[in-house]
Amino acid sequence: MTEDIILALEPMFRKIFSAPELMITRELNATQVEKWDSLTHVQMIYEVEKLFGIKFKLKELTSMKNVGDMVDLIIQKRSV
Amino acid sequence: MQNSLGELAFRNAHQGDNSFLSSGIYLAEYGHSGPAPWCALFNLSAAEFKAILLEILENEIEGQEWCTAQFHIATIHETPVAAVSAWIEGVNDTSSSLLMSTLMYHFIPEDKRKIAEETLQILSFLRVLRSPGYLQLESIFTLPEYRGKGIITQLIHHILEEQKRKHPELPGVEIQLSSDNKAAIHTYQKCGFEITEMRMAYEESILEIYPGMGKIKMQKLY
Repeated sequence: MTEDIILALEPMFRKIFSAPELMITRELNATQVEKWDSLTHVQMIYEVEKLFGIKFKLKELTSMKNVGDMVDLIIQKRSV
Repeated sequence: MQNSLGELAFRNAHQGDNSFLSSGIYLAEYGHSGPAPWCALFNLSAAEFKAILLEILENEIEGQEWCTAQFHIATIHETPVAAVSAWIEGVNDTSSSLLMSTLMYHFIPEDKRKIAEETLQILSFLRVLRSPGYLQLESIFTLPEYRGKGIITQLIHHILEEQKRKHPELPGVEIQLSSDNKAAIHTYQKCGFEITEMRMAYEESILEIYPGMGKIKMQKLY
């Protein structure tokens, strides 16, 4: 399931962060993507919530450190 | 501490200070000449902005400026008169700007976020990065009737000494502010800060959402 989610995230991340070659891994975080700033970060959260039909809680949003944390939360929320 | 101001003392903030802090943060955001950036960006009234601030403060999200536990307060006869937020950038592996944008995303109604999308792009010209591992000072304010008495200078001095005792490895401390806020720049220079970075906007429309044409970073090394 992790792989499926990463596959779904990849084109979205490439578009939002204007990085056509971007490869998504669980370890990827904001420090490794040039255009991952406060504006694109918010856009990314909005698009992820829309794509997967979920809503993150505040504590979940502020505790996410990398893509892996986000993928785990998406899996958890979709299984409820 | 006894001086011409009476009994000036310093303490950490607690949840009971949130009303004082939200009003003061609005003052700090309004700057020396206005506008208050968050209000202008999201078309928020002062009351709406303060209500959002209260919710953010109640959540105690560490690592960004609007966290009650990170505020230091100056009191005179136990009445709060000034405050400064202080935190170490990136201590939880997340930058304060990402945390702030997350908070805004969570608390600001979606229709107001949509209004802000275009103006946020203009504001991105003023993006100044905070240095990971450095102490950050933000939301610095004194109630109007207590200004010009050196309270902030003393409070900052107190914070720098306390933080260095707690975190001997700290390389230095940073402040970000409008390049047009000459009085504040002078105050921080007196505290030993130097300007290390400046970003200027080229469109005067920036003045509709930010109190100045530029943003500067001031730094003081320990």
